[in-house]
Order: sequence, then C-alpha cells, then structure tokens
Amino acid sequence: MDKPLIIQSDLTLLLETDSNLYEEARDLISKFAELVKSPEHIHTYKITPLSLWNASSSGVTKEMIIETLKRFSKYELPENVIFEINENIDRYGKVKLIKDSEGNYFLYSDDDILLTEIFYNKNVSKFIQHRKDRNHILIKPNYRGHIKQALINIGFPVEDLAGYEDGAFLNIELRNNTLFTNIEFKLRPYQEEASAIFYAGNSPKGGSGVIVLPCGAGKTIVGLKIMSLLKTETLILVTSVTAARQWLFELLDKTNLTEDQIAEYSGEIKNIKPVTVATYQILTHRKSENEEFKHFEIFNKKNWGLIIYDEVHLLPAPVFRMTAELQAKRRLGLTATLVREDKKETDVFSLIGPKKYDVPWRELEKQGWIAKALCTEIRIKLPNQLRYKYSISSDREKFKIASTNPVKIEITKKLIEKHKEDNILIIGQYIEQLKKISNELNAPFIYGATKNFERDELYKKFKEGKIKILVISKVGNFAIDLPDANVLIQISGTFGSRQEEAQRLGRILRPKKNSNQAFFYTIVTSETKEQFFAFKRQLFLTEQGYKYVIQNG
Amino acid sequence: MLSKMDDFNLSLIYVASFVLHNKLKYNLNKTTLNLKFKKLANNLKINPEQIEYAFIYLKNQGIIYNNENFFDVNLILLQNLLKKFLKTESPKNVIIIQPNFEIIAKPNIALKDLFYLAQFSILKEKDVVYKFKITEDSLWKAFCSSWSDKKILNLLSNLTDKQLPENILFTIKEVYKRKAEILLGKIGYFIIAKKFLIQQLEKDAEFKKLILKKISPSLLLLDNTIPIIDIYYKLRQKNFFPELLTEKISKINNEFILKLNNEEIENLYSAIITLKEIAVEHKISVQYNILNNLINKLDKIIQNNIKSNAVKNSIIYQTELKNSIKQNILKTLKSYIKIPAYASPNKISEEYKGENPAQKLNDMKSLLNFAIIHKMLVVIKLKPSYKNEGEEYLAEPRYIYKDKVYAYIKNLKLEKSFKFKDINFIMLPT
Repeated sequence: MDKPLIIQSDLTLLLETDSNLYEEARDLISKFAELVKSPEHIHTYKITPLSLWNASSSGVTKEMIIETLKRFSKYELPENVIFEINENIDRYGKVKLIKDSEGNYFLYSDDDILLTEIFYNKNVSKFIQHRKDRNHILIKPNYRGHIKQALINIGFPVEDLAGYEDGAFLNIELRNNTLFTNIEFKLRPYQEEASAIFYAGNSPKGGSGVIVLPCGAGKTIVGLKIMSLLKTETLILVTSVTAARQWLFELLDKTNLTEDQIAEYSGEIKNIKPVTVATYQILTHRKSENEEFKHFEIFNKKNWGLIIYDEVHLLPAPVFRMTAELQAKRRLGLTATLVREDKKETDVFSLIGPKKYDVPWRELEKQGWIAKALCTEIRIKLPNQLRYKYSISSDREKFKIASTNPVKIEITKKLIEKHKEDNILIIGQYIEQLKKISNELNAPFIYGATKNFERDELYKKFKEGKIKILVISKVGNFAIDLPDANVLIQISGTFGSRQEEAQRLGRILRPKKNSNQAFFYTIVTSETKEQFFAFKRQLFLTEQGYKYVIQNG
Repeated sequence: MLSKMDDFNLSLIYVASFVLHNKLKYNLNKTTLNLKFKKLANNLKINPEQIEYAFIYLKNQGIIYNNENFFDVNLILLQNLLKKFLKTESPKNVIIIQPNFEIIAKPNIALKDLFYLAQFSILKEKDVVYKFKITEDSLWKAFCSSWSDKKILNLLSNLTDKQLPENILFTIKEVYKRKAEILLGKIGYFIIAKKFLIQQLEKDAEFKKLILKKISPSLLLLDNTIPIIDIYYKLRQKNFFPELLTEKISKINNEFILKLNNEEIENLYSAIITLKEIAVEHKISVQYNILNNLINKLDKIIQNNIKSNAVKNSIIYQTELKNSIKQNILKTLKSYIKIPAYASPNKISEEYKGENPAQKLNDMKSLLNFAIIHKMLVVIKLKPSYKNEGEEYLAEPRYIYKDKVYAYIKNLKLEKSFKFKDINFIMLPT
C-alpha cells in the first residue's frame, strides 16, 4: 500500500489525502503535530517544540511518535527529525510548577544546574521571589501565567501541576430534550470527544486550552458540556450583545439552568449571576486611556470555576493581560480559527492554554455535520467612468472604489434571481454601498447603528423564513446564528483579512435540512487592488480545503 | 530519484530560477548578493558556496547577464548547457498542484521538468520534496519568454494525474490574456497600449511624471533618462502586464495588434514609422528590426482592411495627409526625446575639452548612463600615466558604481572597471 506521509527535514509533514491510510495517519500525527493548512490534495502539519510538549503532556512518548512517522513515511526519515523529537520531548517536564499547602507557587526541578540557569535568566528572574533550595524557586504571587509564558519563550516548557482553584459549585446538567422545541438533544461524537479531552477526568492535565471547531460545528454545545462536567459557576466572554443573547438562549434551551441563574453583562445590562455572559467591549471599556478597566472587577465578583473565551482569536490585548493573572481558574477558548491578524497565536497558547482539539473543516463537511460550501469568485470590470477616478486615487481610495463598484449591485440581483428559493445574506464593508443595495432590493439592513432589539427581531424573522434576504455590515461577521442561511454574497471585505473570510463563510455552514449545500459568492473588481486582496483571502480558504471557482461576471 | 551527479545541474537551475524571479540589480554589492544566496541556500538546504559557485559559473557562461542593469537569465543558453541531462522523463503523478497555488514535486521528478517548472513558478523550498509557488508575476515572466498558457497547462497535466484546480486554470489563462497589454519599447521610450489603458496611465499621479508626450491615442513617449527596466517594474506594480519589445517578440505583436481597433492601428503605424526615422537619424538603437517588423505587420493589417473595405475611407490612406501627419509627429518627437547634445560624435571631444573637472565628470556620467540604457558601445580613452600610454578601449558600459564605471571590453572579452579620474575622455564611436 502506498504510504501517505512525506517528512521534510524541517519537521514539516505532508500528508496525502487520497491514500487509504490517510485517516489512520491523520489521527495519529495530529497528536503531536499542528495542522498548518489543509488544501485539497496534501495537508501540511508541523512538528514544533510546543506541539511535542503538548503531546508529551497528554502522555505521548517519543518512541510512539518516531514509530508513527516510520510507519507512514513514503521516504526515509531524515536523521535530524529523530534528533529534534528526542531533544524536545526530553525537555518537557524537566521543570514543574507546583503549589504548597500555603498556596505558594514553586518551580521545581531535579536538575539544579538547569534551575540555576533559569534563576539567572533576565526574562524569567523578574517573576521570581527567591530560590528556596537547590531544587525549588519561589515565584511571585499572581505571576503563574507570566512565568509559564517566559519559560516557554526560552525553551523550557513547564509542567503545570499546581492545579486549579475550584469555583463555587453549580449544578449544571444537560437536558435530554431541548426546552423550547422539545426535540431530542444529543452531542455529536466529535463534541463529546472535544469535551472529554478538555476535561481530562478533572485532572490538572486538562482544564485549560483551546478547542478549534469550524463555524456551525456547535462550539457552544461543547462549552455547555464542559460546564456540565465541571459543575461550577462560569463566566463566559463573547464578542457582541447578539452573541451574548444567543449563549443565554442556548443555556436555557439545553441545560437545566433557569433565568434567575444566568445573566447578561453588557453595555445595556449589567447583571452578575452564577453564569454570566459578558462582552469583550464592556470589559475593555474605559472613559479615558489613563483610567483603569473598571469592569475587570467582574473577574473577582464571584468565585468563578471556569472562564470561557468565545471567539478566542478576537480576545483583546487587555483581557489577555488579565488572563495571565487568572491561571488558577480553568480556561476554555473556543474558536473557528487560531489565525489572529495580530499574530498573537502563541499568547493564546501560553495564557489560555494549548490547543486541545481541532478538526479540519472538510472532515466535518464529509461527515455531514456542516454544510458543503461551494466558493465562487465573480470577477467584474470597473466601469469606464470610474477608471479615471481609480487611476488618480490613493491606494486606500482605489480599494474603496473597486470594492463599491456599482456593477456589483447588478450581479447581486442576478445571484438573488438564481437563488430565489434560498435564504440569502449579503455582507459587506461599506455602509453606503450596503444601504444602497438594501434600498434597491427592499431588504432589511443591519449595521452598527441598528439597535439590539431591532437586530434580534430581524434575525428572528430571518430564522422563521419571514425574511429571505438580509443585508449586514461587518457586525454580522461573528457569532450570529442563522442556521438556515445557505447563500452568502460578499460584496466587499476588509482588505486581505483571512480571519474575516473564514468567519463569513462560517455564517452559512450550519447543516442544512435538504441538500446540505451552501453557496459562498465573492464579487471582486478585476485588475484592481481589490483583486489583489481577494486573492489573499481566497488563499486562506483554499488552505482550509475549499475549492474556488472563478467566473467572469 | 535524482542522482548526486545531478547536484551541480540542480544548483544551476536553482540559481537561474532565483535570478529569473527576483529583481536583482546588476550593481548589487557582493555582501548583499551573498546574503541573498545564503537565504536561498538555506531554503534549499544546500551549501551557500554551491549557490555562489553556480552563479559565477552561469555568469561566466553568459547565461546570467546584464539586462538593463538587472540580472537576467538566457534560458536558451541554459537549456543548451543542460541538454544532455534533460533527456530523462518523469513518471506520471510526480507533481501535485494544490488550489493554494503550490506545486509539490516528488523526489523522482526528472531534471528536465524541474527546469521547466522553475521557469513559470518560484522554487520556494527543496527538502525531501520540491515546493514551487505559482504567482501572477512568475506567470507573467514566463509569458514574456517562450511560454504560453497552453504550454504550461500541457506540462502540468502531463506531470499530474489529478485535475488542475479551477482557480489556477483561470489565473493562468487570465494572466496570459493580459500579457502584452502594454508594449514597452526603446527609442526615447515608448509605450503602446489600448486607448483606455493609455488614458489610465496618463491619469496615474505617479506614472504621469514619466510621460513626455502622447503622440497618438495608443502611444506614449516616456522620459528616457531612467532605466527602462524601472518603468517595466513600475507598470507591474500598477498591476499592468507590460512586455518589453525585443527582437524575438514578433509573434506576440500579432496577438497584441489584433486587440487594437482600426483607428488605433493607423495612429500607431504613423507613430512607429516616425520613431524609426528618429532612431535612424540619431543612431541610438538596435531596435530597427523590431520597428520594421511592427511596421510590416501594421501595413499588412491595414492593407487587408482596405481590401475588405473595412477602412476604405480612412484618412491615413490618403497619402498626402499621411505624410503631413508623419511630419507633424516627427517634429513633436524631436522636441521631446531627451538626447544629450554631446551624444553626437562630432561634438563629444569638444565637450570634454572643457576645463571644469566637475562638469566633465557629470558629462561623462550622463553619456555613460545614456549608453548603458541604450546598450551602446563607447570609446574610453585613458589618461597617459606611468602604467599605461593612454590606451583606448571599445567598450559596452554596464553600470556605474561609486567612482568607477564597469564595462565589457568586446575584443578582450572581459569585464573591466575604469576609475573616472583615469579617463581622459569618452566618446561614441563614429
């Protein structure tokens, strides 16, 4: 049988998806390598020190890794790969983080020379109080997260055995039938698996980390399941009021929690109850730059046993800093993509925790858990009268002129005609352009200035099928749950934002009742700056395994 | 699997591909060049010295050469050099083309196919497998040489058993369609393009500074005091796909000309005839053949059109009018092309009799720059000293760096540097 794996000497693994051994190989290598990209034929994984330490922390040995690589490798295993694996795995666990009965945190190691090296490292020493003895270093209170981050940066991953503080008890159970629709409620296998890996039998090996699942794959459900396993008061941080309300709805619908146990903490309502859903905006709100973030007090208002960070790839920097001081709390990050436009992926790993679970989008699509998406880019010309304006404009203006090309409205109308039976979202960047489309199509428009109750009302009507077309600005990029939307027409975007492309596609990936087919259209003005950025966005989706069709409009 | 014997040839291909897809200035200093080689060697996981040696070897063979002050590769010469190694065939399914524009070539790929892939895609990495990346620029470069969309698609489909991703297919065809949408020629400098593209260039805040005169709706005359290759890349930055007019370009002209309408062809015809006259008068270009070629083609098209009555009444075919238009353009051109006064052989020695050393240095540099841009030969006469007796060299200046000019001495077949302070005078050969 043809082996599916090519192992490069830079520790990159190329896995051929056509092979009969693909699935078996994928399941094994994903335990110690990070999935970097998954285009159609070959998926790329990378073995990194972090991925090896994560593997090691979950009990994978170097012998198991090398054996797996040898078993699936098409060509001879490069010598240095074996060396690197041995070297990195041996480093994990040499330094441990422990807690004494008085609640003091120590770095501990059998290797006192290594501990001396750490003690004198200037990036680490600022978090150290003193050296207790040859094998113990006392660290300053509240610097558990910082020291872990600093040690990872210098190549000494800490095995954190200090455990977590148990939060206040809260009896959370999942319902067998949903409250509002009374249909059977059961977790999908991958949701069960993700929850179990995170929970890790309530041992210190679990309890913190990130679960990466595509939009539409039910990340919220995984969150609910973990809450029911930990049975503790929980703070949930989300990106918007709409998302907060969707969480609250899910909590009522799928758990035994009642309205008096759950609360919203946002710009509009500021309640705190055993399960509180707060927005990132309210947490980072302050009147002036010099002021403290007064809403951070929510972290201390209750004895939270779990903090859930929804859409963790959007976590704002101040919340990151706060999180470094919350290492004694269990932390769950949920996201569809670990790609951060600010490149702070490693901070997510250090402060929230390692990636605990990840499934390629296409895998869930194959299994029917998310809709199949057909991505089409429609290229149109810039009308002659705009060419002049375009050629004399600055780059930023050029992008705007191309993005707001009026021909896009005509193409949108044609697409709507083609999909007249479908539920269509039209999403874009420029408010004026969207207003114009909304007027011409006589379709409602949701944007930043739309009041929350109006948004909720429109989303509700769309879900009920009373509205077939909804025009939304980038407020619709994240965390809105419109399960029946099956066509998305993207008429403009934020330059080359890959994360935005993924989120927008995610809006239509909820599994569909009939053909389970979704259509993602991007309308792009050809031979302009917009095409250049659209190419970058397109590249991201192809690397997630989506085929792209390009058509001339 | 490629054998050890192929190692050297492989490094020649790596270097050639690197030079082909990177804009390397010819006067790049050695430290910077070596840093780039080091990075390349790192990506390819080979010894940097191997890369450096391959580069010197290709340069000595004339395969890597100075093209308008940039390094370029003569692919035909390289193919001849590698001829006997390019016979082996690759097995089927030796490459995988991914929708993210990546080509992965397995270790058992034949040298020949690596050589071809490296011409239209960028070799990013060589480890157990080779990784190439197709970009719009890499395709455009290939289309400017001997590649066509069909040729690339044929090669790719011969090497893989999987369907070519649709977005890649579209991109290859699209870039090919846009190839030669702008033709860039020397003699002064001129740009030929469709009317609306010319209008777009005229309006472009940055580009319009380079325009001297619009002499026909589809022909712009440009400032010829900066290297043409800079204009070439400037156009690319603006998302155009320019094509430099060279001796080999005739077949492409056909395709381009077919994109023009009758009015554009007629105007172009007059303008090009005029350009040729200017070129002849000032002995400033080696591009007569190109112009003749263009003139013949345009003439043929116009004649055909007349036969088919398409433009029977066109004013361009009323001879008197045609001549008067010509005279008019000629007059305009003469007043706009920047040819240094001393470029005329009769005046050159007079100019250098001036006593002002700073003025002399400036004049020498201007003349040399002019000769470099137009690939002209110059006579360099040295001052007599205890080392020499005031030798005279017929040389093709390549580039100026600090206080020296580097030139290729034709009869000695070597590159030599001259300090400005040692030069008595420079002149254009009569």
